[in-house]
Amino acid sequence: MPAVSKGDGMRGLAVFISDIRNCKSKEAEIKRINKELANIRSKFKGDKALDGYSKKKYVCKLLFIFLLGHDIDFGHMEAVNLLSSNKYTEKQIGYLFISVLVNSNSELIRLINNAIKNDLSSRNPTFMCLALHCIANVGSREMAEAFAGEIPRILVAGDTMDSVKQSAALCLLRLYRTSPDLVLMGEWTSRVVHLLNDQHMGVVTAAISLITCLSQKNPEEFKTCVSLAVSRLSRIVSSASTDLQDYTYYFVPAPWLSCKLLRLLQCYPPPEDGAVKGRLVECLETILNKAQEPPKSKKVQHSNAKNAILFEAIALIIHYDSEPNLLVRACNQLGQFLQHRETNLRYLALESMCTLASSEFSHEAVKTHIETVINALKTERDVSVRQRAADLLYAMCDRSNAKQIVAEMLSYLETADYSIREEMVLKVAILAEKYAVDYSWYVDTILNLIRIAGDYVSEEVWYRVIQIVINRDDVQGYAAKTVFEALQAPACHENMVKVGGYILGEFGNLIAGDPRSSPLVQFNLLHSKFHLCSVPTRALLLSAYIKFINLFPETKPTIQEVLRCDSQIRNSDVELQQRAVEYLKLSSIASTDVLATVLEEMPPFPERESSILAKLKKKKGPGAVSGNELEEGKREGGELNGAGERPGDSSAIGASNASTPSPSADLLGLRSAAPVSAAPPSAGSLLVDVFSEAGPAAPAAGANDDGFLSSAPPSVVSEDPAPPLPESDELLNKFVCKNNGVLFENQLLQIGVKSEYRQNLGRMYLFYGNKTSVQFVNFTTTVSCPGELQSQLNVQLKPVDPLVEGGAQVQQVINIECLTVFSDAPLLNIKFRYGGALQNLTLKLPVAINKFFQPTEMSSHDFFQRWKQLSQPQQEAQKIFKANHAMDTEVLKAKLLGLGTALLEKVDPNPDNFVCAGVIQTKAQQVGCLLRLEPNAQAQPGEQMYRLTLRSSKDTVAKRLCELLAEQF
Amino acid sequence: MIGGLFIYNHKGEVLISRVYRDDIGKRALLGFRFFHSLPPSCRRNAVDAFRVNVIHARQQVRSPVTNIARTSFFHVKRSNIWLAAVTKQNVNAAMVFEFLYKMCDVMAAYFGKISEENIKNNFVLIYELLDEILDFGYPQNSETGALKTFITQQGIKGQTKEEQSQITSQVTGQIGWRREGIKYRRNELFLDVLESVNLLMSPQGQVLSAHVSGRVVMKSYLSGMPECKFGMNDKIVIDKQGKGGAGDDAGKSGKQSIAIDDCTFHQCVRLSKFDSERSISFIPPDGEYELMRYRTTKDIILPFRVIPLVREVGRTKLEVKVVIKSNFKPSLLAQKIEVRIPTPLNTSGVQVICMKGKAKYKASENAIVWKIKRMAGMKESQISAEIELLPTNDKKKWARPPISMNFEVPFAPSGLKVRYLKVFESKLNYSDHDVIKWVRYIGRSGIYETRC
Repeated sequence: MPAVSKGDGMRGLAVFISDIRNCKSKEAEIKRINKELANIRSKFKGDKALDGYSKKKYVCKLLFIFLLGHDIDFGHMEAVNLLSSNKYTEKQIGYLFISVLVNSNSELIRLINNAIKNDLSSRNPTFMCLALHCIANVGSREMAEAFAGEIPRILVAGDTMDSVKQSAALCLLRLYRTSPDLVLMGEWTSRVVHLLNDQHMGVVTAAISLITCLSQKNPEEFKTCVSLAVSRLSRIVSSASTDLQDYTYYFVPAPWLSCKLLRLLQCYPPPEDGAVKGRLVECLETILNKAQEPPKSKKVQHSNAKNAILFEAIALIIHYDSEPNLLVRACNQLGQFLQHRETNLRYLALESMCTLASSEFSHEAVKTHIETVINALKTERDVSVRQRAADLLYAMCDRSNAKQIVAEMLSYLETADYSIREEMVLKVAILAEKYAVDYSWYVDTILNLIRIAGDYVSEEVWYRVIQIVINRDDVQGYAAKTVFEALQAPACHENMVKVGGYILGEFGNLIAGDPRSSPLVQFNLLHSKFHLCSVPTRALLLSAYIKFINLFPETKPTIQEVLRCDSQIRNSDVELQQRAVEYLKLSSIASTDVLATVLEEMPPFPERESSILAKLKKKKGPGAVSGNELEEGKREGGELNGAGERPGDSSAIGASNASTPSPSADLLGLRSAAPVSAAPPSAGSLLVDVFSEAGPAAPAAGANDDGFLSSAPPSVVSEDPAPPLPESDELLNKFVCKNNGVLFENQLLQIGVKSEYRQNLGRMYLFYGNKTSVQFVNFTTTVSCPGELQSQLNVQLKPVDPLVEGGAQVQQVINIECLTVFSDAPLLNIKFRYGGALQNLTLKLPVAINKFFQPTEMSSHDFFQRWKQLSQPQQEAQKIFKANHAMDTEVLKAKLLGLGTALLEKVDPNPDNFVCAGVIQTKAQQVGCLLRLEPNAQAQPGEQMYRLTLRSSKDTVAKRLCELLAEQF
Repeated sequence: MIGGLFIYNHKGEVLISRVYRDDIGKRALLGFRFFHSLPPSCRRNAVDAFRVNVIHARQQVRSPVTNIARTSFFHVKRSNIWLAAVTKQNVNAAMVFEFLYKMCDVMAAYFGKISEENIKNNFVLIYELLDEILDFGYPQNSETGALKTFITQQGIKGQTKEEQSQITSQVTGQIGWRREGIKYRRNELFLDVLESVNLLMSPQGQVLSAHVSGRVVMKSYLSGMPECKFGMNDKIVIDKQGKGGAGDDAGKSGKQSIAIDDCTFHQCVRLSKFDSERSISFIPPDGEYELMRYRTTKDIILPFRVIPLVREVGRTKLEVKVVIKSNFKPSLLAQKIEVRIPTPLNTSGVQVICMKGKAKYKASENAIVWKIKRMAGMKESQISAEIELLPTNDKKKWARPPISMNFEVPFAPSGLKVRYLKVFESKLNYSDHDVIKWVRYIGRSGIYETRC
């Protein structure tokens, strides 16, 4: 490569740069730059042609100005001219400018591509390298399109210089990473793999990066590289340190190449060919042996290079997981590093050991280092190393050492860093549960955990304790005693109060025999914490109190007194007030038998995977856990929450739930009536309360009025009782009978819908969730009403933030006004840029005419009278169709209610038929609508048919509704 | 409550640092637990935060108030020096800026221009001043005259007990701005009406916004404790008098009086008297001070009119013609006239022809600057320029920034006139007639722009 001689230095540029450096303030700098830009402009504009040198100088100045952060909007042409120069320095500057400043300006790109093409075919190695570097630096799609075919040819051609081959391999790698679909190896595959045999080590190093990347995508095609890699590796490993001359780095032969080879081998399973495998094992043994040899140099570079190879080798051994001998040796080697004075080495050793611990062959070997690791946890200075130590302890834990490890982790927790506390807490909770032989030990551990790090104990952890205590009779007494003692501490964490309230409420009777923990003492203890707690905890405590009344009738007056006082019964929080009122009534009206039934002990929870594990997974990495799992975890939490606070037993919930899947309007009525009409002992009020808690279990109920039913979580969609419809473009169908759900989902974006309607007005909330880790930019949404819909529906879109961060969700509100009857659905168009690529999709908004239904109750007589009034043929629409789903009465009822009409019972003489009535509210008019659905349930499954008849005062409405509904059953 | 005050040079090095309250930038006080949850930029203390986020910010910071990690930084810049007041509390921002300006005035009164060199040379003095004018972050006496009696730049002269007690009684007393026993052989008064006129005009000559902000600055050399009364052609006063007095005068005085939108006074003015009878009476401080500040928006005399004419000839050429007309009495002379005509960012060459003054293309400022030393009223002058452009890839159109202008005229564009300034001193035997009074009007341009 021609060196830049002194005469080639650009004095003007040097002066300019030193001027800029000497500027005293930002303003001075800007002034100087403006002056220079004006000068360059006048030079470029000037009539006489510039020579190569001055062109290069000015382009260089422009580049420097650009790198200082100023916009450059000219000079591209001059830079492109430089490309065709024959002087290396001028060409170099031209390429530099282009790789830094290129934009997809079509005319320029064509010129640049042309110049690159010339250079690639010039056979001058330096020019070829420059061109390849430029392609790699820009790496745009246009470049890939133009050159993806050319470069592999250069790479494998016999007469290409080594340095060019190196550049070509790396350039191809870059293009493959940016646009894999354009780089097709096909016929070149075997010749690329054979580059591993190249004489020139540089070429091998460059090629192996390419091969590793390619074989990760399609391992089958590149399978042949394994044996070649092994032989190459064995040649390097067995060579004396002087054999490789230029590629020996501080007495280590070709460390980079070795590491890359080992990494390539990690893409494949152990070789099947015995000879190859034997050779590889030999290599790995040699590497492990070499680690034992005394270092040849005291320099840090030597040990770094050696260790790099060693750690890659260990990673490969772990990846194969089939050679017990090697695994144990690796473990021992790492054990030595655990006490090394180099912090980085200790970190790496702990990290590798973590994976070793999961292998059956080396688990025992890892366990021998437990003392060292515990010591590391206590004494390490660096928090990241401590974190790894904690991970390793978690990984090496089993039944034999669980008690020791949990105790150590607990004691460490008191001094642990805040950043890792929550994770530690989860780990302790999981270990304690997983390896608990003795459940009193488990209870002790978790209570200790809450005491030490209460703030970091998530809901899941204490739910789990309660689940376990309730499911195991043998620990209940012990648990009650322990929490009672724990609560006596003057300051205890709110989570402790929650656990305490729950357990004493359930099992307080088991320790009531002791005069030190008599019922009244228990109650007073709990109540002393009451005022320091948040609302949900107070609600839980109130439930515990009512349970006390059941368990210990002697506490009844005291507790009633508490419930009756103004701070409870007139509490500003609706939930607390309701509980106080209901419990007070319940305790004063219900007989002891009823009380005992209602407030029976909780039935055992069904066994399921620990919710804590899900939580830990979630914490570990958003990439590792799919959204599905996340939601599951959340839901589980929600269910548990409901279960944790519900006062009645779960069978009651099931029953009431099944019998009345009533829409929220009914529920609301019931709710407001409940306190007054609480005369029938418990059923009424209990039902209401159950409903408010059982949000997740009653999806149909939680539909419209989330504001009121505050405890119903918004993610009720996924549990729709109907079997999921096949993915059809007619998304509307999915939303005919429900208002909330996932409208659309692909690998980038999830769109959720929540909507509510009142008369002729509707409000829809769209939730756009970014499922990637990259932000979306220019995120815009528009709603269009095609054709005549424009005059029928008034849709207003609130603007949405144009930037959606990775993993974030944004909300958009859409207001809808129904002007008159309509049949089409408005179109929602979403545009955004994801990683530069424009995404554009159009969906139908789930708005159908039935959303504006108002239910109408009427008697049988009225119904048939109106039915007859609407007897003209155009007022009726009828359809007979096959059932798509099983004929379940309850499901059908729920769907018809979801439609928005009133379901009229005992109207039709045939009890199997369903009859509904409703009025569609639009701004212009009101359209009455009657519906009759006649199933013939007697037919064979699969042959079941429905007859759907709709009559409406407006003919289009009946027809449209008929179409919509026919898809639903 | 200002938490601290820092003075930086252009490199962001701290020249003066005075912390009044512990809540800013002390690591220890942030609390260990909080400390980790803060972004890294505010883990460093407040001093560094300002340097990183404002002085060395990638994008030029234009807001004078910056909020970094729940700490507010108020800054003003004097040439290359940054003054920053820092606080954690929700303070009155206007108060802080008033204080900063006052601080600049005080420093200028002590050692002249505020420059890095001067600050370094006088740092002891500055700390002394800061101790005196701020207590626990609350501004105290910032009157230069009063400060100069006890903070001096010379060595400390042995002050007698009487002198000391006199200073104490003055600083803590009712009239903190004037000491007793001042004697002058000649009683003199200088009164300057300084106005700056701001204008934004459309290319067609329509006034889009215009206002005048003015100051009345006085220099008084009067003996004893005189009582002064200042009168001007304030519309409210004139109208009141007009009603009480001769009716035929009303039309004339209506034209001559001005409507003041808002005004502020020096602390020596008796506000109660102003509120009740709208008369401005006061006991003046000794030396130079600013008596009042005001703003008017109605009936402004615009001293100059700029008529721009820009024509784009193809993609590579631009023709500009600008005419300025002076619009005041021919006997008056405007001075230091400067017209700044912005040029597009892709200008590659400029030819200028002007009848009067000098014009030059300044590439570093992307503008043609046309300077005229003097110009009488009711005249007009013209410049024409040909600008060559370099075609660029950029599709953005040139935004055409407005043409701005600077000048100085010897009258008050708001129309304000000083009617009288009376001095009463009952104890000493000089009367209003014995005082020599000087009045001067100066009108300057503020932001005086015409769109083109």
